[in-house]
Amino acid sequence: MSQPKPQTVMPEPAVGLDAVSKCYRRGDEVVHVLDHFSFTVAPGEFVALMAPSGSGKSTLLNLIGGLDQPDEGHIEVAGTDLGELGESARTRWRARNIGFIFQLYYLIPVLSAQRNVELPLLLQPMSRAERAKRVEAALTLTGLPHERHHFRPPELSGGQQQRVAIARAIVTDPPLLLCDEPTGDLDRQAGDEILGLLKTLNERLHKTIVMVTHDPHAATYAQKLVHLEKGLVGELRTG
Amino acid sequence: MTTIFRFRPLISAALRRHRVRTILTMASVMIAFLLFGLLQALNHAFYGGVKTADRRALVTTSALSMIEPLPRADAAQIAAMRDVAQVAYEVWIGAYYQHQNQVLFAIAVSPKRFLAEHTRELALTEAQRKAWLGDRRGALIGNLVARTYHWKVGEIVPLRSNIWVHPNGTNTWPVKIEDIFHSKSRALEEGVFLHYRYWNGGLNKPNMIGAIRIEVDHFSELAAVAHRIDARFANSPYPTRTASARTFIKHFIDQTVDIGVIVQDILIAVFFTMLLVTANTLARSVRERSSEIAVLRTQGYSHQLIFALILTEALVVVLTGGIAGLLLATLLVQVLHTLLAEFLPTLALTLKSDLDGLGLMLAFAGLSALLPVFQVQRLRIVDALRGG
Repeated sequence: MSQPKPQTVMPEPAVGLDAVSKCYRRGDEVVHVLDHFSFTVAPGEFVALMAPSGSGKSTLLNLIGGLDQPDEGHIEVAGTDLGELGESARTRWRARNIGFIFQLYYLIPVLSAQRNVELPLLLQPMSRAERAKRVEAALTLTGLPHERHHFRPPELSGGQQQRVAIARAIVTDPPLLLCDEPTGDLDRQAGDEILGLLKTLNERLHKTIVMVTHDPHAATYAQKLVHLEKGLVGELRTG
Repeated sequence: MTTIFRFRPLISAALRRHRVRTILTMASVMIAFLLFGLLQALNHAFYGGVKTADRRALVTTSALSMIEPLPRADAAQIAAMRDVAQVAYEVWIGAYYQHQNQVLFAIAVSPKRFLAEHTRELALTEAQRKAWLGDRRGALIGNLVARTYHWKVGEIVPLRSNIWVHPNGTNTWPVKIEDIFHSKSRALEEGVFLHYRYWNGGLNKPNMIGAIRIEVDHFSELAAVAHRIDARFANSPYPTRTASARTFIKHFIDQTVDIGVIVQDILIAVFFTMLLVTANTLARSVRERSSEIAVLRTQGYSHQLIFALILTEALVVVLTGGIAGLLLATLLVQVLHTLLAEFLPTLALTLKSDLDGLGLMLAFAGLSALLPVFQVQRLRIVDALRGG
């Protein structure tokens, strides 16, 4: 009687792209940004996507975040096949599962830091007191000095604005953070602080992070580096 | 369901982004609705009587022109017709007080019929009725007119006529104020009512009248009776034209000036312009915020919610400006009414006008939001974010 073989239970990937293709029209020309691209990110992983301009890294982020749809292939994020979701369902799914962080922060300039962070919570059935508690927690976690919580974005430095943007991204406690050049508009010191913060969120809160960057120094904060070249995975390094 | 009230920080942020622009847009809307209020009041001043006219009443005038007289005997013939309950006749005096601009709504009537017709509207005692019936120079004066000229009961006042010459060769007709009455009918309270017999002496053709007022037994008979009257006199030297009292009053005003058309044309022009201005301002505001709207979409804000936010923004701008405009119009109308009471005694902004204004504001906001909503509908999140 043979012994049953021990089964290895593979954890479901946080992000899984299977033979994804995406092309754009630029006048009469068709530009293939991604061509049968496959890629996975394990839960709790911090992945940096590096690539030259125009090689599809932002497109990839948009596809993972459900902001855009592939021409071919399948995308599965946190066990959900995005192709099966309609527009409204994708919007609701995004609210629960994804936090976006952008290079230009995209904060609303006439609202205080607290109000900016509160925006995603307005969609949740939650009391004002509970919202305020969560906003404070998120801003404190990002290290924005308490006395600046009621400042408006133009009154904050670039690094502080990005902290507010990160607080806005994590305030609903999504499992996946998608960062598009989060330090691209910051000086080295502020950039390092933000990258350190992302690393902390990954290590302490187990957030899965996919970060697009063209800065090799920023990429060193990630556990895994994926190098994209003309829509193909050109290099893979595990840090 | 998430209420829109919860998102007031976002709506407030959109309005505060360019404060001056928001205030100017609200001011533009305010001016549009101020104009709306003033024109509605003017419209009411002219046409207010149309709606209050008796639904069972007909008015017969000459088919040739409203100023052509009719024989008084026609009134007796009409009174004998089927389905006719009451008949009264009247003559437009074309009267003014001391100056030509002190125009009076003065008519010479058949007193008995007049009193019978207005038993309910006129608060007169039996003694007062008798006193007026017994004095052919007597005049019944509406309270509003008496107040304007500070007339008192028993006073002899000289009325002047642009049409009728007194037997003494002047155009001045002394009349005795027999009574000053109050009435629920504003049209009556603005009137001066005189004896036909007194004025008949000044007519070029005696026993001619200006108009015949007919009350039918039932509202349903109105058209049939009107048709019968006109048919009866069709081949006479004085053919008639009979219309409902409401139509008659409106036609009478329209002969002077078609206020309704003027008001309508001005309002269409103003609101169309304002609609373009407001819609363009909102569209510009939304265009400037396209990257922020895209970020809201990444956070889980649905298209419908963004539409609702834009619509609410438009509602806040239009309702704030519009209500301010209507309030200002109410104040101005009150001031104008005091100043112009003798010319436009029914100048007033009615509740119906306010409600019409409110409806217009809602429609205005909805239409203004259409273009920005269309922009958001077409907005691709990735393109908006790429645009920065």
